[in-house]
Amino acid sequence: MKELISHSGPCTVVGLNDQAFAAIQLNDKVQVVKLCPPDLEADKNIADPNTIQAVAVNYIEKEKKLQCAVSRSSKMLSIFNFTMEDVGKLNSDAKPNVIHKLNKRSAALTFTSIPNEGDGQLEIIIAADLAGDVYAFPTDSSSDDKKRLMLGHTASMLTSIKVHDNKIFTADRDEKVRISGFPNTYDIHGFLLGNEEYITDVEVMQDKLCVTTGGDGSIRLFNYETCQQLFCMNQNDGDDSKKMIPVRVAATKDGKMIAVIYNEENFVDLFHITSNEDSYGMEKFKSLACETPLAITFANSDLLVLCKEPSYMIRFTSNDGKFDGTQESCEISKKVEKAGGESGVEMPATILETDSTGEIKLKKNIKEEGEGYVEHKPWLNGERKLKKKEKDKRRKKRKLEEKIASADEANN
Amino acid sequence: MTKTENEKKRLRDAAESGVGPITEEGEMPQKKFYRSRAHCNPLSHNNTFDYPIHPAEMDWGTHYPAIENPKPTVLDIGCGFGGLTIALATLLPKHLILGLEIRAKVTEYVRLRILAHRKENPGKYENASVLRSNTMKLMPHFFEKGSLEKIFFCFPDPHFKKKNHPRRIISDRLLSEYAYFLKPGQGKLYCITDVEDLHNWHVKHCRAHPLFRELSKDEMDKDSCVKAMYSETEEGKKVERAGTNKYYAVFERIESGTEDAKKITGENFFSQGQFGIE
Repeated sequence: MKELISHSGPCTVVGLNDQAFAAIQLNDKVQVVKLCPPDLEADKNIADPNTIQAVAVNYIEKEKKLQCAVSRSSKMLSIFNFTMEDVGKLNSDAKPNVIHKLNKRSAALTFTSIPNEGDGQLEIIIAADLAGDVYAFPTDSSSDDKKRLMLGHTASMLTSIKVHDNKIFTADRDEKVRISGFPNTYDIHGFLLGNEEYITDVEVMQDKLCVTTGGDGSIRLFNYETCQQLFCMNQNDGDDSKKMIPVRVAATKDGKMIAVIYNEENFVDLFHITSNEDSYGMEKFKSLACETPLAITFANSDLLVLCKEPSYMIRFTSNDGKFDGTQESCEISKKVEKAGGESGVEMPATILETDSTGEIKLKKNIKEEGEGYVEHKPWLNGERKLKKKEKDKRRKKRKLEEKIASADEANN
Repeated sequence: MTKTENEKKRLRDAAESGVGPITEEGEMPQKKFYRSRAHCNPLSHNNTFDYPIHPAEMDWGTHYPAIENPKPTVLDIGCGFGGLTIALATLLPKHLILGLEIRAKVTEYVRLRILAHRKENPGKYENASVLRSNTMKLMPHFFEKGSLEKIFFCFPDPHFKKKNHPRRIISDRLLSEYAYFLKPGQGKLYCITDVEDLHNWHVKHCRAHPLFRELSKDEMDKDSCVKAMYSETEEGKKVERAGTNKYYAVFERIESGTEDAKKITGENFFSQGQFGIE
């Protein structure tokens, strides 16, 4: 999985294949900064070391500070710290301030903070990796020994991570979302179960609600306090050849609306979350056309969509939540389009990784019973017992013969 | 013909000739037909197991047919040939015991062994069963929060190489899961091994986990399960014959929120290490 867009305060960070850009809205203009990869030499065995795996951005209102993070295939996590005063003076290229070497590629990032005993708080970045582990790193120093293992899913891959309401949500390729306490991650709150295949994304909202999307084609609504599934929707009708796999979900701040994109499709679906006493539902009210969307996020109430081509970023204006299809050509998207065009970016067609045979890597390779496949159950093969009996008989006979022979020898 | 094709043909022929299983249900199985390689990599071989999506969908009725609405509360993880599982069935008659084993042949042996015991002693051993699964990955699909009272880890694979330490059944990451399944204030985690290094590893990691409290020597002596764990497992008997030492420890799951752990703050976040260990 790849996480290619993130929005916080005045800043939107996008990953365009192997180049990351931060578009920052200043009072009267938009500044676009290219987030450069670290100068360190990457492992030569990695084919495309600069391909972006995940991006994240965090705006600290109080200090007027911006933090951007980019993780790449080279297993490097780079963090860029800006103050809003400096942004106007920035060059178009920014070098990372902090670099962390990861054990595995990280497919999801999130910024969060831990309150200090005294004043203030510690800003940290949390990286979920493709071995199932979640590590926390400082955002202000590259020191190697400063990292903390938060939790780990055994032999799995993590696809999404969220921190909300003193809880940390981790989605994996094994049908599970784990909810642990935060920062006391050793205390597991529960598991969201129900998905039948890998989970592609989890989004947490108000009123203890959260939404998951999965490789089985479903979009599910859960109460994360009770870990109960409230609603499940699947737009597929069982025909696997044209299965729509929802890959990313984003929710508005009030949690009343969600946007979903699917793997290699040409639209964004918008749903209202409806609640009536204890029953919940999701109603699709709009499908917005766009070319192969790869990432979505809500910015205030507008919807930002990162597409394959050619304009990269599209902003759909909310119009009081109606989303009647107006694509506002805002300055941010124009600048991103220009920056992307100048550097000749070629976007991937999907954010789901596939192996050499075109199978989605997250999908489990389950053996189906059928021709040529015999389940190995040696205990049902009674012949072994017969053979053993014969063998024992022969052995006994041989032993007896040997005994007689040796007795004969002794007699002679 | 390749080796695997040969194997398949042999199996098919055996199925066609209709010789039947080695041991009929109810008959006591012989160990010699169920021996299996002692090691198994729990981090692979994950796609062969059947499991329910949600623990509520699990039908335990087939495992404990004589018991109404059954739900296991005592787990013997890595039960091997089932010595402890069988012993616990009589020791804890009010609990439902479930042995978990990852190797297919060995699991089948324990299943037949339990069935044979049930047949021999009508009304007894109805509270014991066995399941083939990978606990390192699949426990959330079988058990609910706080539903377990005891978990036993008897003579687990020591995985000596440092490279293979992530395969160990007791680790920081997994202890959080075990804490989730154990009943707070009551649930106990038992571990025993004949490898001193592994015992030190167990104690180090369990002590460091904020949700576990180590039982004192006195408390352990009073627990009849400790005695069973010490003497009843097949592996334990083997160790006894060899005359080497056995090391064990018991930990109790404490209530969340009462843990003694230092509050995690910005100042100590990175100095605490993982989960506050080291």
